[in-house]
Amino acid sequence: MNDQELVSDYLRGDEKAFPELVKRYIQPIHNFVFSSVRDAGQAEDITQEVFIKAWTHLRRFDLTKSFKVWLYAIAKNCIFDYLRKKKIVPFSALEQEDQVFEIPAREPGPDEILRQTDSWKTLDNAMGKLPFDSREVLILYYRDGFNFREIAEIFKTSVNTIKSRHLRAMAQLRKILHPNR
Amino acid sequence: MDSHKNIFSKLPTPQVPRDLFGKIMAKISVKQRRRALWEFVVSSAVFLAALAFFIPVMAAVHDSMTQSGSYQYAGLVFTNFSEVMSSWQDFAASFFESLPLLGIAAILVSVFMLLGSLRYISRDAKILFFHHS
Repeated sequence: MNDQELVSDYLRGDEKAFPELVKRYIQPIHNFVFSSVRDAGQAEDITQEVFIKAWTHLRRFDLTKSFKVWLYAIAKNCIFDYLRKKKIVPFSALEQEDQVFEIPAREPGPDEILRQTDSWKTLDNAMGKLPFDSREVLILYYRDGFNFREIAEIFKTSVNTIKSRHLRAMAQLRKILHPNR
Repeated sequence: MDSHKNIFSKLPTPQVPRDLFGKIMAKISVKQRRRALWEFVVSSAVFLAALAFFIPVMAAVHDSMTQSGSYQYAGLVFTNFSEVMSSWQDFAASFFESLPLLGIAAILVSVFMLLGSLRYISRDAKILFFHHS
């Protein structure tokens, strides 16, 4: 049974349908939140908030759209709220949304970046130093399997902006891992 | 691209706390009961208001139909069916003229409100009194 069918069933009164959706997405949403806030306790609280908000606004969900994208958009908003409360700027201060980021002719991919690093831990630490928006684009694109259009929907921005963020994120990652190059 | 995905999938991710699912569902259950209680109160108020509106409107429509002869027109269908059919257009026009249309519309609105509020009352009562999570 797909997500839309479960939502539709829940709205028609099937009480078991929503817990099924929670079971389906609790791990990916928790991972997504943790990768942003990097604090287990906060990740747990924010994950709870995400599902409660999803339940509260479920009647507003457009059944023709992707539930996964909708849920991640809620998660992104909850993370933004948390970061704002903590007075952390969620976006790179240098970002100019519609400007396509200029990159060198050949930018290394994460596999090449990783090959140049000592361990997964190093990469994880480097990811932790990236600004929220850059880190999340990489996580959503490479780990969670979203395409640029879906990520743009989650961040409510244009596909070109997301493509720029992706390129900038790769460049930033490289700079963090190899500051002397 | 696949190798990129492979790399990011190996980044360390924490295990979801075992009780997190339970915590989420418990909080949703509390919110669901709170929402159901609020809707139950509103729906009950709408039901009572619709009922209070329905009874006098029904009586007024009944009086109006008695005075305008609608019942007599309707009775003709059973007592003098052949005559009614021979001049059914005149009969239909007279019958509809005799109906208190505004009153009938008011009855339909109140019936709609009664049924709609009953639907919410039964759904919310189920959550409030029979739902155990």
